[in-house]
Amino acid sequence: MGFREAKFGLIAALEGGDYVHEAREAQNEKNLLAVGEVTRAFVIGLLRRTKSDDYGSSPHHADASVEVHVFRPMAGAVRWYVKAYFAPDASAVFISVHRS
Amino acid sequence: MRILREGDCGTALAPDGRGWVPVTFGYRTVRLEETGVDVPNVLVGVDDETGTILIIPSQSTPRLKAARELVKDEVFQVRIPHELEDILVLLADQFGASPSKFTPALLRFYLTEASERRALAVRLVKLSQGPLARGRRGVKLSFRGSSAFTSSVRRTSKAVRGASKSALARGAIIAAKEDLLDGRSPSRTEKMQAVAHAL
Repeated sequence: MGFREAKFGLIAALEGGDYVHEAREAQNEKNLLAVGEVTRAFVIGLLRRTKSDDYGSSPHHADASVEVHVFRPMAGAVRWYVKAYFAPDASAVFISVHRS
Repeated sequence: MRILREGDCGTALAPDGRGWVPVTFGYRTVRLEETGVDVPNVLVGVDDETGTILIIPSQSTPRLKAARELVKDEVFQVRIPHELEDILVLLADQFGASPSKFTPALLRFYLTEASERRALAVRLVKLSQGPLARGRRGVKLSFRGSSAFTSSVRRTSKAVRGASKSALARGAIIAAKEDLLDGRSPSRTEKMQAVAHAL
């Protein structure tokens, strides 16, 4: 999956509320979207401003067939970090959303 | 937004290499890793095989947020200019302490005294209006304080005109510069030395 497809796929998932957060017994508070520190509208804004230079992907450590998308946009003077992947049903799974 | 119910099914990526596995949504207690708060009755997706939590649906976010908000009452957070952060680091260095530990101790020291002595609170407000305290507030200062401390700061803010949390903090740093770096208050210097030794 390329940059544009990942970017707009995540935006669509956020807009449709079609996303979950990766979790373990202890919820990682580095996912500021999961704990409500930032809104989905804010994350959509981050994704919209992400340029291809601020994007990368890599295999998920638990399953190499799953591509993890990493967006590192600047918002003002702050660089943000949005990490997510897609489930088989095309819903999004967020791993982390935080300031870099 | 689709609202999930207890008993609904989904899939999640297992962390142990099993790939996509079935989960069933149910209500569990979730621990917030950094704040250490246990949040009860959070809808989560639980691995059908192992019983561990694998995913949290977006509808559970407000519940986690509410739990963090309660804890946030005890987090003291202000934004200060870089120059004031420089002063804090200089002070920590002077007292032989790490800035990350010294800064909260210094601010608690000054702001607690300001809550007990109106004259100091007024001084801090005045100092917060000086040029050094009015730079671009590019640094976020954040530390946990007891609810007694945060309550005392709120009381001071209500009792003294212009004594916002930010003004008090910025004024405290300037006061510390005058008292401790510039040597204008030997008694406070002695007290802060004792505080630094205890860190």
